[in-house]
Amino acid sequence: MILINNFFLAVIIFFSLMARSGQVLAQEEPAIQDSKMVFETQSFSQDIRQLTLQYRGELEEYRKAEQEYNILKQQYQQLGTLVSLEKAVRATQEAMVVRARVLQTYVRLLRFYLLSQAGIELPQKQVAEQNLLDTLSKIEQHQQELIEPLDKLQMRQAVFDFQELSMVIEESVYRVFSLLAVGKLQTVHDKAIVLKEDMKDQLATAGGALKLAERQRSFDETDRVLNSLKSSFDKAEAVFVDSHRISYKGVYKSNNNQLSLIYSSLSKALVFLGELLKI
Amino acid sequence: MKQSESQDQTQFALEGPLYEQPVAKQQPLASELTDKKSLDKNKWKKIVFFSLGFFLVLIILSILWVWSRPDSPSDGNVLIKDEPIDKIISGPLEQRVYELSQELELADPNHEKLPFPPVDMRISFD
Repeated sequence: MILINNFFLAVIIFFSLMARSGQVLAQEEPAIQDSKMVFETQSFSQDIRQLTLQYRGELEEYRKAEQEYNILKQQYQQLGTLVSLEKAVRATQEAMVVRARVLQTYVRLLRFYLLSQAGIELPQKQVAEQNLLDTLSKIEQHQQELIEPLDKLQMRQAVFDFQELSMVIEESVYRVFSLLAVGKLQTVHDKAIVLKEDMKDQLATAGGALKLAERQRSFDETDRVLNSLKSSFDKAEAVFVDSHRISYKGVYKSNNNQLSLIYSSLSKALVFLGELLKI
Repeated sequence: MKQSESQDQTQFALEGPLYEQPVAKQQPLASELTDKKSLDKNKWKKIVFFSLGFFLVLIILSILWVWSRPDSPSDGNVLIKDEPIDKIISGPLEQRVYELSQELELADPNHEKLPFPPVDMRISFD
């Protein structure tokens, strides 16, 4: 009799367990959808990782090519023979090809950084991305010209063409640098505001009246710091928008002081938020 | 009259069992023995099954107890009155402040994560 009772009890518990596990599985279904979203956002990080490895390898290859170019160029200057001339021309061409490859990978990598960065206004991001893509195609074109063996005169022409291209590359890169710098700080600023609001909600009922008053004063001070940054961000972006007069490299450097001030204010606001939790 | 016979009744009572005819104990039959053994076996089986069942139920109950424990406070927004309020509510918030500080460090405008490639942009033959 006892055995039968135990058996039935075990059966009941088994079915209740099964029902419970079914519920757990049913609750896990939305998590699969979430993981899809996470996957989509992480796809850039995988590209970035791969390109970073490729970039490092190519940079190493470039260093060797550049070293050889320097040695053979020096030899040609010392010897002045036809053999040393030929060797120096080939080494220069090789160094230029590898440099173009490094720059291409770098621009691709920078594009992914730009696309994955939040806090940048979409039109500015799109323009900067298109600019990077145009630059990329110009570098590819330059690399194509270097595939065939060139003589001394053709090499001179290729070097001259690259001097113009190098300015285009620098402008595109510094344009992205400026956007990334603003975007990173803007993201932290936005997150700090959300965090502060969450803290206000969660700390509203904690502690006594005395603490409430103290906490409110601290929140007001944090608000003041965070709100003052809005005008700083506007100033930084205004310089960036009116950049038709000066180069983007100049914009990046002039903006650096402004962004450093924003950085220190944000740092101060985060310290305030940390302190607020201890009140 | 026999003088030698003792009149002490207590002594007689003590010696009584000595004069008793020994009664041969009846040996149990083989069939009786097997019945008894099987009864013992059944008894042990029951005990073993009962204890096994008991442990099984105990294990299942413990699993159920572990599963049915209340979720973490962050999921349920449940505050326990006995614990200090700061400890409960500041945990995830402190974590967020820390993570944001880390993110800010990476956003330092004086530190470029991906600097311009260290390549010679003036490679020339001349």
